[in-house]
Amino acid sequence: MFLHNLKYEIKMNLRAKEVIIWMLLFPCVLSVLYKVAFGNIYENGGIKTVPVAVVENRKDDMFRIMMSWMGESKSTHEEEESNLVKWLTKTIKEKEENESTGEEEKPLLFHAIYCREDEAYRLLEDGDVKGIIFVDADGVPADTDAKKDDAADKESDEEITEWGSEAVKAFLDELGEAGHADINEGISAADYLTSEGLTLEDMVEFKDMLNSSSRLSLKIKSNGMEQSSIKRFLEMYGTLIKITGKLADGGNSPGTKNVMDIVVIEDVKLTDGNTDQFVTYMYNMIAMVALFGMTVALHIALYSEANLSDFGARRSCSATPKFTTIMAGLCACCFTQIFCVSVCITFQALVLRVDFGGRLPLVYLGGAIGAIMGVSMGFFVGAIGRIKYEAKIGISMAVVMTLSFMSGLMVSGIKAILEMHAPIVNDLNPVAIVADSFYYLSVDADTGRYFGKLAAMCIYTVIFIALGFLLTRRRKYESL
Amino acid sequence: MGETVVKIANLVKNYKELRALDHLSLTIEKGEIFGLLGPNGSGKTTTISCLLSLLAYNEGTIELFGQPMTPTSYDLKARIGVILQNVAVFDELNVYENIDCFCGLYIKDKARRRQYVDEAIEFVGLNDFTGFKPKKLSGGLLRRLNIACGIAHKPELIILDEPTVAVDPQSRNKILEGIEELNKNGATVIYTTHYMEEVEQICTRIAIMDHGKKIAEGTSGELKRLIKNTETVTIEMKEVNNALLNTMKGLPNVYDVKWEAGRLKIYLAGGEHNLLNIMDALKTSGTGFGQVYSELPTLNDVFLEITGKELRDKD
Repeated sequence: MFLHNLKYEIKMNLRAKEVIIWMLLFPCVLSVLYKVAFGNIYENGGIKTVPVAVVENRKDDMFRIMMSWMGESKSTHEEEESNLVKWLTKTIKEKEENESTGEEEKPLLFHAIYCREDEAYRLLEDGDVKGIIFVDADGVPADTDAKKDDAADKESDEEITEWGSEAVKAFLDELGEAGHADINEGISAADYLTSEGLTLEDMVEFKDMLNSSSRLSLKIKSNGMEQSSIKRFLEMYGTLIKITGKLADGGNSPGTKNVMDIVVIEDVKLTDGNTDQFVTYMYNMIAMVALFGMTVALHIALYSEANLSDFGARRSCSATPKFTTIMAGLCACCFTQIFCVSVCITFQALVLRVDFGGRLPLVYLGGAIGAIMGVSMGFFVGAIGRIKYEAKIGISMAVVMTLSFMSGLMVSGIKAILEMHAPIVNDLNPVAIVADSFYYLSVDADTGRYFGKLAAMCIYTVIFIALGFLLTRRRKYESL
Repeated sequence: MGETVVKIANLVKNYKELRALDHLSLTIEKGEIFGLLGPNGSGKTTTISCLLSLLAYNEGTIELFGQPMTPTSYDLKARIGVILQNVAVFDELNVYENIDCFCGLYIKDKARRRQYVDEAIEFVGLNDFTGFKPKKLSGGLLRRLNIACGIAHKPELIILDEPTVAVDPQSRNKILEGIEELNKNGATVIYTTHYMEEVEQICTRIAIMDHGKKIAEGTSGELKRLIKNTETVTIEMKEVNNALLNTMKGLPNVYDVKWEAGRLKIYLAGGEHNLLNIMDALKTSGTGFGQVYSELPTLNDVFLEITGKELRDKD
């Protein structure tokens, strides 16, 4: 009787339009939309080079080095560069050439045009540049006059912040690795320069270069992705200057490591995985599909309890024990949900080429356990009270979407905000747990944290199934 | 006396302050089509729910096939078929699959189940619709499918809770014929309804319920004999005078005369040649009249006389 029930439960699940729409079509379509909307931002070569004019009212070598590293530059007036600048530029370029495989090219983020102020305004007016960076003497480094917190820019700014953070981090890595020095361990750039045989004057020049920061300001004509990218770059550059300034002073001051922690967010051993925001969206997508198991499993209790539906009454009158029908329902829903999650993962891995860090079987395992957790939650919610089935569906969908929102499916920064102010929410959020398991697979060399998240899912599953059985244990009802 | 299939003794069921069943006792013998007749809210469905051990009750005992009925009496449940008031079939499964799905809750053997499902489809006349999903079926066909799902496993006791609500006359007749056929094949049937015509048509014994109590029990004839009225003669006429009314009241066997909405109703208690006497009186008075017809008492009259109210609201 169990197998008979199982067969028909699976048939019904796979034929339900809601399952096809919400578990299969919706995530696939949404994944494609995310891919189209955000996928290219994070791919090498996919970043559009932003033309920007630079008006130097004061010569800032450090800024010049940064701009040349971030893209290509040209100047309307030739000027002799110092030995140190030439050497730094040459060293970084050599390193890039040595590491270049020929397949991957470093993206050109900016095309900087050094010019006079009047020329810059003309270029901006004609739309040839997206903004003008003014390099002035004195002032607070990397301050911008651009309008802050512009509502229209908010969403794209989130992406650019991530991107800018990665760019500055990469620059620091380049600078550190070029001299075989580990910045994270606090060895100063000055020590490195000495070891390279540069003179005391060069060191003084380097220190002055880091300490004599300029006031940077930005003029833009309109708001958009490209303008935001310039703005964010300047902000990140300001942070970089603060850090390197401290390094130049010896690098061992107590605050230095803390400052470094701001930029180099996490110094853990990385796999070949991808940690960009697009992939995080995809992880959240799979987590959401897994949790949609709630809606699939709502009917288990409904169809078994005589006081909840006519199906329940009919089954309760039958010669099959309630436990058998519930178990068959649970198994069928788990099967259906694992199937849907597997389709979603396969679609993302094979069609959208989402990088799962080369550990696809473990991703399937995480997805499967997440799906079972979703089903157990649905079983529990379905067993609660005599609320209409449609209302329970609505509640479940709202719960899943809210949890997905808090996990960063709709707004990338929300999870980070929660992590800062209420980390317990992320620890308890089932969608975040599933998404994090994929994330850890992608970034960790070992699987400790991944299996930790799997254990959390299993605990949730056991709790919800136990509660579900507790609520459906009744054999007679006070009213129907 | 045959085998007792159902024995309910002093059943009491309270919904908080409301007493839904008030010391109800019933005995149903094997081979009967037992009708539970009563207005909405009289306690018919509550009785069935208690009988099936779905509802907890406050007092009394219920025995099926001589054994106490409990929620875990799966051997007893295997001998019962239930057709509930609302259609309960799965939209995702077609006609054949629905019947097989519910039949599988009782019959493990695949070959036997296949045979039973085919017979059930044949019985309810859904042969041409086996591949149809329920949403493609009309209301009547859906009711038939609902019945097939309840009787496919060939139960000894079939409980039908108002199976003809919102069903067209053709499907209703088909359902009633089917119930009689099931009974002929050996099944005992409990049939609840508020349609007295159906009960009179198919039930071998009837219990009339009101406010959770059994107010009368017996065959249709026995119930009708409980009341004074044996015949009601109705005469259509434009107007009536007091002299005629008094004449009619004075006729033999007449115990009441009412004039309402262009109809003169004369209530009679037994006797012979009542209609001839009435026609003679009409001719003598010289009053013009239209149609004249005579009606035998119905279960509604029984209900009306016992409770002082109609069995169901007039359509």
